[in-house]
Amino acid sequence: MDIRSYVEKTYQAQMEAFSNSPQFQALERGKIDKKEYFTFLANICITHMQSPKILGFLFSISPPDSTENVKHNFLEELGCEEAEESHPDLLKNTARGAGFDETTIERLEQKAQEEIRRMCNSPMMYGTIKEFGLHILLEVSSFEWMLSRLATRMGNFFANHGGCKKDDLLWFYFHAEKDSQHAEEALDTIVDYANYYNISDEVVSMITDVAFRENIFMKHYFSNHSGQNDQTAS
Amino acid sequence: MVKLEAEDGTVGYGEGVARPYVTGETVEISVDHIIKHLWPVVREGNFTAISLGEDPFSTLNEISNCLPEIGSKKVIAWHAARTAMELALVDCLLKREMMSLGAFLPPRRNFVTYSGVITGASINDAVKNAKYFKLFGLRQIKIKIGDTNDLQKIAAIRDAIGPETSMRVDANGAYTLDQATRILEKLEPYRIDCVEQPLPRGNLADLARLRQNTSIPIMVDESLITISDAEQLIKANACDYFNLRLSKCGGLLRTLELADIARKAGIRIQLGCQVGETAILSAAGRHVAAYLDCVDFVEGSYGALLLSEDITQEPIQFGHGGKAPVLRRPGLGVAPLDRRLSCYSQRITWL
Repeated sequence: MDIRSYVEKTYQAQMEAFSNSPQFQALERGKIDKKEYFTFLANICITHMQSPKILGFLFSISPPDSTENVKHNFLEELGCEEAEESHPDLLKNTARGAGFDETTIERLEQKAQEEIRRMCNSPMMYGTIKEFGLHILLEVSSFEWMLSRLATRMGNFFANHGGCKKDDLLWFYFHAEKDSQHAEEALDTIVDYANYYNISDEVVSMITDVAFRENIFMKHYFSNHSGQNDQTAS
Repeated sequence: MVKLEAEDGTVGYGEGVARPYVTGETVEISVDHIIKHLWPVVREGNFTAISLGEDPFSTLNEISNCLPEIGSKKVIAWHAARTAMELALVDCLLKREMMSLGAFLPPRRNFVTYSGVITGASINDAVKNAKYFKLFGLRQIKIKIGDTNDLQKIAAIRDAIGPETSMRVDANGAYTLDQATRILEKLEPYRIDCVEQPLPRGNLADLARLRQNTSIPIMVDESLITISDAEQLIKANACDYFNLRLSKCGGLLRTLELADIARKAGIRIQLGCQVGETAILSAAGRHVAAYLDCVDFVEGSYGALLLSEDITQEPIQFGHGGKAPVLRRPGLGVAPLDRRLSCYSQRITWL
């Protein structure tokens, strides 16, 4: 089994289901209430605002051959590499540009932290950290893969229909540019990880299937956890 | 679900899962039964005098037996409705005293071990699920049968999981006596620890005959709803196991009574669940599973493994190996989030 290919096909299928979904299509075509754009952005904030913490975890368990790439990604998330801002700050500025006030942004940050808490509180189905780590690596990499391909489209539908200026949508356009490289590196990291921790191809495919038994993008970006009162927009 | 608020502001939550093909209850008539028959009694009841003392049976008797038993041609028993109200009452009263149900029904173990369940699926999907359960360390698996490919499915699953994992099957009453006799004979080589509800509810003589014809222990589920069912099953020598499910059996008191009847008759126990139950029923089931002296199999606590989202902040689903810790917080041990209950409610009735 070619694990790299198996994982990439899974990402492709997840991304296509997401971008072909009625919800995504409605956002892209402007055939939806304007407040739905802000709900969507709020969910993106909740999903990604604590990304450095997740990257930190992945850095700590990275296999030696991939540590440099993961470290580079981690430092970039923190704003310590070429980017002037950390990714969470980039996201907050995008949210501000979209009209979110500071109270809303703070609440979204809390909700993002609640997701970390929920992840840590959830009973581990896997027997060891190596399997759990692979599950997280697969999920994080899937977002990089998807964003490298869809972030521009998402930024554009905020610009075209969400009442936002392109200059305020930096998070989307930044990810569109950077994540292509990260996505390729991540697939290499997954293969390195499996080899380093002696995880068989069969188990990698099983963990992939478990991680993506639901559409991960739909689950995070179209969920109800941002709540009705979580965004105010001018 | 029932949310009960006492005059002092303490809130308790209960849950029942109506299954028309089991007890005859639908959600609509269960809710109606709660509104018309159970709530008026609870509203007028004085529960301040109930002491949460040493004997759980006598205290549960006081709480549960205030809820009337109403006969009806529509249902075998109003057990889902009763369970929802009884659990809400117990949760509320225990929380008022800052007492856990576990302090009241002392656990005999610190962890409960749950089984995985493989439902109707193609052989490939069933094998895939079995392998996931193996990856998750589950040592007990139940497989739904009743199709033409049962034998091939069981053979494939046994091959995938190896000889050590406990395997049992559930037919949900799919077979006639002859069909069950034939299939069970073919399944014997695959080390099946028991077969659940091989025949439809009703014919105890056939069930008893089947039990004589097979070496695979027989578990009853849909055949066991009331105390009277239990007595008749024992009298007919019709089974080896009882599948006790809180919502099917009528709540904590009735389930414990059935467990006691089973124990005295030498019948073994599975503490089952309702597919799709939330953390409320799962929590109550966890306490009972931890309290009972001898429980061979436990099902439930799937939480977000099955639900898109559970209704409590803290997840209580089982983890690796199917293990889940005993709950120790007040009441049933879970804190439902009202905003989630509202989000997923189809109808809310304030009384």
